[in-house]
Amino acid sequence: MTAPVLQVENLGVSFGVEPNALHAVREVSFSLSAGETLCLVGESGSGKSVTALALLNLLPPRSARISASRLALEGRSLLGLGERELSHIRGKAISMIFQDPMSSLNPALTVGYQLAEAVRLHGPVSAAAARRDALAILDKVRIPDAARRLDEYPHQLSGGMRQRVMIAMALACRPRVLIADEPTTALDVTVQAQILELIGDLKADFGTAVLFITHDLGVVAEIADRVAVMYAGRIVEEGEVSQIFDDPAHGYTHGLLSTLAVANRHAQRLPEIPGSTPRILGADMGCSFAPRCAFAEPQCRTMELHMAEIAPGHVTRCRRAAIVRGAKSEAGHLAHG
Amino acid sequence: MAETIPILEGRDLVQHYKVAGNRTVQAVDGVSLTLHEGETLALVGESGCGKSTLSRLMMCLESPTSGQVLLEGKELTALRPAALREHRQRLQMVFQDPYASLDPRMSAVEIVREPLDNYGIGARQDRNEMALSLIRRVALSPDYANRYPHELSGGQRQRLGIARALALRPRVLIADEPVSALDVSIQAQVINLLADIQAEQRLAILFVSHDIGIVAHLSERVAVMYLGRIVESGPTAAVLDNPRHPYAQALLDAVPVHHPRLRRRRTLVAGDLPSPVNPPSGCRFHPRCPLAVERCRSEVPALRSLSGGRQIACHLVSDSNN
Repeated sequence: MTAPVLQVENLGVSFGVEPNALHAVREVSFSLSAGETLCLVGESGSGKSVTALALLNLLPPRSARISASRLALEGRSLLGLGERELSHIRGKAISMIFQDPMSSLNPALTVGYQLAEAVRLHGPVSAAAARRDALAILDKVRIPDAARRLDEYPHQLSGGMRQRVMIAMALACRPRVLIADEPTTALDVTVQAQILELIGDLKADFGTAVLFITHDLGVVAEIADRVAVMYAGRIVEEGEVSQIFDDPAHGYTHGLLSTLAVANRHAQRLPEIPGSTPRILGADMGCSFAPRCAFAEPQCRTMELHMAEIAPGHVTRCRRAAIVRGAKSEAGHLAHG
Repeated sequence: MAETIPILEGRDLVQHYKVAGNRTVQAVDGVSLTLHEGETLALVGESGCGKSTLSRLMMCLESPTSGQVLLEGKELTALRPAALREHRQRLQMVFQDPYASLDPRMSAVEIVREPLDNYGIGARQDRNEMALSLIRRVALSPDYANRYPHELSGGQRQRLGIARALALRPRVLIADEPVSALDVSIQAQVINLLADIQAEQRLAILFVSHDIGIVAHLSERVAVMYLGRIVESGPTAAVLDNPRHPYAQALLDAVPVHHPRLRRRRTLVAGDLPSPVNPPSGCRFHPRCPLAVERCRSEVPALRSLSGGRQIACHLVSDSNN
């Protein structure tokens, strides 16, 4: 493995004032290498989007408190950088694409203007050269009839095409890191397949590291090199994509994989995870998932937990990892058959 | 199955909307479907294919441009509103957004009780108890009875929507993307609940969804829609394992795999769904179809029956057993 492009250690984000503060992200650590796709998986409220926004310091400064013991891009710490310095990094070294392209594009400006703006913000380029670059990037993201699209407005494009424009804009400065927050969730499956393939190809061409946030395990199975599973603000398990799917070592990961309906099409009933995701108030001991976990014992709720490495590159925050690993996951089982 | 009267039937339904500039959106264009007692028929397709419009037509929430809807052999589309109301209680709907479809000013028990009041079911003093038993039936704790929708989670709200739909003991439930707004760990709970209730009450369910995994699990038959028309239908396992229509093949091929070992390079269908305002001539899929020939451009393919209860609308597919 090459040196990590992005390193995050002990990231925490809380909103509000103690003792009623909401701890949205807790003790999150991961690193990302060039050309690697790390999928951050979790359900709504698990803290995955807040993690991404915190990396770029895009959370409202009045209400969000961000802490970390290390946050570095190519070895250079991002902690303590001013807004000016950060804005040079955003969009140039680290780009982000969002779930809803319509709300991230300016409806009053043409696609070409917005793309050229992205190019010119990060380097001294003439207007004509920026337009040429914009056209080349639109071609790169396979927008048909790109020259005509440059002079169109966002509302004239389909959802899939808008997301391509967002990707084009994000890649305009050849970023080292692309953060994609549910970029295909609002799209139909045939368009999703096109966009996922596009992101994969661009990653291969530019060596961009991708942090891909999703709740969809099917998307994870398609694109991830590594997977970090989040629950109630924490990463509860992380590993290579094959380790996560074949050898889940956390009760939550196991539960998520077994609810994959595709893998259960012949079952009488879908396996359920009872209950619902908790709100994350003050610091707690024990495992947040324990009340819903099929493998939990009483100590899970009270004993302090740490990440433990169970195989090279595979870590879990689960006391019962050995038991969980013993129980076969349905998805892995079917893929073998 | 073929001989019994279907519980709900749509015959040659057409819904065209006039839009600005004297143009017409052909949202649904000649769709027929049948639903039998205790059966789940899944309607799949991408956004803009007309599946929600079709479910609203089947529900008689709007009148079709042409075509008929029959409930237990009785033509609903010919009825006046007052007469339709009598039949409506047998036909209920569960919506995609459980928040937008629940009145925020009513408590859980009031929401479930409302249809009982509207239709004068049972004695007035018994209706709260009836509503509470429905709330229990959908595995919501009666502690929630006096809470308001904003105090409930998404999954709990959807359970409440199901309880309300069941209040009038319908024969048919039309569920338009009932779990797509829910987290995966919650989806399984709601799907299992629907399956249990269906088995218990011999409900027929028209299940509108874009999630192939859930469709595969829940439905006996599936109909695939593209731009206002059904392009292929048949027993779920047969259609999903061996789709014959080029669009159905493209749609299923695009579904993400469920294990990283199954990754593959896909032959992706090009482009986006065309506009239903000015749909392509002939077969509506022809501009994106890798196999299209001249005939596909000019002639609308009829939905033909193949062996094994399958139907397909494609000039290029002949009946064979492969």
